[in-house]
Amino acid sequence: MAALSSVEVWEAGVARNVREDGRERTEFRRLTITEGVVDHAMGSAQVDLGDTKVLAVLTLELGPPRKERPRSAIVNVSVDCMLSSPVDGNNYKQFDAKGRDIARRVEQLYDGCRGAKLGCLDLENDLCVSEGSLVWHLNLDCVVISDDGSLLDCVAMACRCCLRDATIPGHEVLEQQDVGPSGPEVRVEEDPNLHRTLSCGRVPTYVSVGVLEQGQWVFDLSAAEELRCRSVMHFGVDPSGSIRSACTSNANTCVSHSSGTMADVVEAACLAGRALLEQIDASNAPEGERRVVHLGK
Amino acid sequence: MALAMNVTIHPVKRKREDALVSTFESLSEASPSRVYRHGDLVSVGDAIQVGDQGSFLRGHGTRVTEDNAALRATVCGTVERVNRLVTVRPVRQQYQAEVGDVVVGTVCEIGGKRWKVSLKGGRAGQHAGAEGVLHLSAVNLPGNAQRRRTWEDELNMRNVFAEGDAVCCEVQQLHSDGTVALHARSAKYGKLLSGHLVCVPSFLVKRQKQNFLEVEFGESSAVRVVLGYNGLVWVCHPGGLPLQKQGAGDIDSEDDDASEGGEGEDGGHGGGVDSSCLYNLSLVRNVVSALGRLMLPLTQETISQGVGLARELGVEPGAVAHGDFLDRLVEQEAMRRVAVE
Repeated sequence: MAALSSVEVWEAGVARNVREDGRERTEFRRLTITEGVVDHAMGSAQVDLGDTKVLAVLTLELGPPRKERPRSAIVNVSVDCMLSSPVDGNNYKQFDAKGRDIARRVEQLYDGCRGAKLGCLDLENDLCVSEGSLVWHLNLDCVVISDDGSLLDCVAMACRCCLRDATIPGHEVLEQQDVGPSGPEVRVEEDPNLHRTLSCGRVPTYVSVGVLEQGQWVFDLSAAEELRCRSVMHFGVDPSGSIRSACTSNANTCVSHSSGTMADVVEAACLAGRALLEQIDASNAPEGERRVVHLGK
Repeated sequence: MALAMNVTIHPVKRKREDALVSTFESLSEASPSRVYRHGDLVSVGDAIQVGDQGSFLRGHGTRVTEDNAALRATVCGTVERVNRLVTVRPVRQQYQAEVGDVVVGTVCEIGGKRWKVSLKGGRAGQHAGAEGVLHLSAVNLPGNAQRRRTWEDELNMRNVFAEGDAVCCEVQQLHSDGTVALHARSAKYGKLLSGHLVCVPSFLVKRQKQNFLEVEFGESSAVRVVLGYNGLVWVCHPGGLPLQKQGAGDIDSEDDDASEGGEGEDGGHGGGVDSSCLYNLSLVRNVVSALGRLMLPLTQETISQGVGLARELGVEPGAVAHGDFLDRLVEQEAMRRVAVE
């Protein structure tokens, strides 16, 4: 083995199924999910994927729905990367871009198909208070504590686990007729024991796949690997294994793959996403305690 | 976060010591209001709970008081316990460059006849003061040419070191405004290839004689480790270093390129790469990373012992970072310290 550049070392590692940290191609890093970390929020979760750590917190508001979706809740996601990529003299102009980009992708994931009347959360939950005038706004705020690659995966997972942990208060609409311009009066249930939980059976998450030119692919890239991989794709996969969204984060490169490779990659992503979500949903915690899930070796 | 402390001001009759030691003494004489445990934030002088285990291993950032009464923190940070090892992870430790330090960095910018080399581990953004400047005249040109750097040399800078390359160099000078000037004028400094970069806290790499270490794996396969004082460590195959000890004497980087070109043609893509080689590389890289996580110092001894332990226990490289192996590593370090004393 003579002098090889880091890209060549990485590609050789993938070809031999020995990545930089000893993982195999399809092995995820250790995933630790802790729900209920923040007591005063309606829902919270911290997801650690290897050294990538994201904390997601949910707050609720009542507000008007979108015009084209009168019954659908609105999910607003914001991602704060200030801890992991701080501002300094060089990157002050786009310091927010990374966080905004990730937030936009997760929002698109939750919005579902364009032209559909319902987002992915609304398929199983009724989050509409008064059709056309008041719906629940779910504000998911994510803080990236540290970033070691696969940040989009981690943020999507954190948002999903946060929604699983969330409790939505019940409501009572006080007047049906003579509704004023600010919408009907609503009384929101205060007792936390009477809150309901969300059913997240259709909520997808992202699975990032790095595809190499030889037709091999790897899951869960670390930060160093992301620098060397020319083609990284993100697939939004829901628990039934169907693709909800597909995007890529390499804006300036153009890589071509054969259709056979792409079909294999898509299928692998679906299966991996389904297996991951099944394992997460299947593990239950004792009543009243925080749920901590460890996956991977 | 305000920490309430009782500080007593001692009169000047104390014998002359440096300021830090006297501060420490004054803080430790005040009785502790509480004892801190794993995960707590501590500041200098706070007592750390040692626990029900009789023996403990004192790690970085801690110190036992003279009368062996308590374990005190010497830095501000978080208490961490792995089995018997008690350390305090500092909040932030910036690397302070000294003239003559061997450092490993990645090239982040090229221009103006110089390379900007990032000495910090994080990939995104560079904090002020964590960048070194490698001037065009401070590197050996390919072909060992000794001449004035011309306009063509400046245009071909990217062929020498491109963005993202790992380089090994030495601190030449510290300017008064804090800029660190680097040079790679010796044959052993230069571009680093065929390996992985590991980031550990910079205080774990102590001043030592040898920064270029070798870990033997028997049967003529070995892994080289380059320890940078800034906390970046390069773990590679012997062919990835600028200076090769084995083979025909000193080979400069031009011959490396020639041999790489030859191998590239013969072996095709990744043809000459051995899978056991990659496995060893990954093992050493993970052991170094585990030592960094446990805040144990990085020396030839600790690294080779860690690798030896991993091979003995048959631990996969991927499993090195997990609890069981970390515990064993701490045990081994305990035994090593006892043996030294």
